[in-house]
Amino acid sequence: MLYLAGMTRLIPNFQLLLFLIFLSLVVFALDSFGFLILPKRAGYFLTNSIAFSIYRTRQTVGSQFYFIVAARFAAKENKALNEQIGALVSENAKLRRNLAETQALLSQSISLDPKTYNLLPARPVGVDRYLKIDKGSDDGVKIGWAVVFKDNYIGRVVSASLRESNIKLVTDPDSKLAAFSISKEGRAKGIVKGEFGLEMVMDKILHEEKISEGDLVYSEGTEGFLPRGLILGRVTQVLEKENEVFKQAKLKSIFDVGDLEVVFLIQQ
Amino acid sequence: MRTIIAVLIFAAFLQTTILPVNLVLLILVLRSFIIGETSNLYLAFGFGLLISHLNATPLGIQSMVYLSLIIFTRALGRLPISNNILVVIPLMFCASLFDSAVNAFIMHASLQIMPAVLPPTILAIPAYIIIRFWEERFVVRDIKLKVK
Repeated sequence: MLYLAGMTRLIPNFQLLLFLIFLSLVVFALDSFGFLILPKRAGYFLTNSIAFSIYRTRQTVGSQFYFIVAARFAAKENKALNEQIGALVSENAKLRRNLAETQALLSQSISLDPKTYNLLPARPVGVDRYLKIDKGSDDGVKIGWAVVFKDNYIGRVVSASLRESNIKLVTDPDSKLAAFSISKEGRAKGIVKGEFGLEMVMDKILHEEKISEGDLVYSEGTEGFLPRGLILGRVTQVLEKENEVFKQAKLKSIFDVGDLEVVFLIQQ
Repeated sequence: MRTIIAVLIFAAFLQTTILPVNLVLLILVLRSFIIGETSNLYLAFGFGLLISHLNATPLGIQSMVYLSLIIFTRALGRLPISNNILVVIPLMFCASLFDSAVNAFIMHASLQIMPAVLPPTILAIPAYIIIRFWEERFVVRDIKLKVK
């Protein structure tokens, strides 16, 4: 009894503790010998449903969170893929442009012998009155250089900044070139002038010289900056009056300048 | 008292279903450390049985573990060192380790120290603050005056 009183002073509610430990041992013994099967079954009936509800709730909440995470991940992936597609489209466009330039260069080398003419490829970057190209004085472009595409004369460099140059087109009103035409019936000589930036007129053609619709007009090459024999255009109409000394012919370019992907400067 | 029982029931279901942290042990030990009431012994016994039942382990063992830890905590709470809040960290570490060791022995399993001991040890300080705040601010207790 004295020992019990001493322990109670040391550990409060010592008797209660002993009782609960004893009770625990009894429960353990009963459980070990299978006497608590029925109450345990009843307990499981209640607790299992609660545990299952909590577990299902976690699954539902977890799946909702997973959906949010998955949606966020998908959005990020979509953004990355779009960027990748953009990069691929850009790369594809660059490759196509390079291919077109290579083909044009090959075609140009057939038209104008690169051994004779030192050609500098350039890309058109805009057209209004003048054709703008992406090569300038940094690339060695100088004013007065002729610009061609295959056998066709495009124009002449009139100004060159560091990275850009302006080309005065053959259709420009300030453009004047000595030219000749060849047909089955004969040759005709004249001067090709631009008109309103849209078409050309071949002037100063003698009456006795033969020229007709569909004839090709070539450069004479007397100006010095461009070779002889480059195509300037095709005759669309011959203007002839009895009382005038010379006759005229309207010309049209073989191609639209705006469609060109690459042009070549003849370096002098 | 009803609140703490409800919280303990919820914690018991939580720790046996989705959250592998011994929340009941954490609450019981810290409450016993904060207030040395007799009710802690009843709670330890009752929730020891509930945890044993929910974990499908032999009934009674967990109760004895909780009771012994409660007594140990109350004894520790009488020492001057218990005024330092940081004592709860080694206390929870030891309590969790003892509980895990007994459960591992019963289940004939190896002792997993890190997953069983680390979370309650980390949660010891915040849980102590919350329980202490609750018990001191929201629990009304009868004041018994000793008249000699």
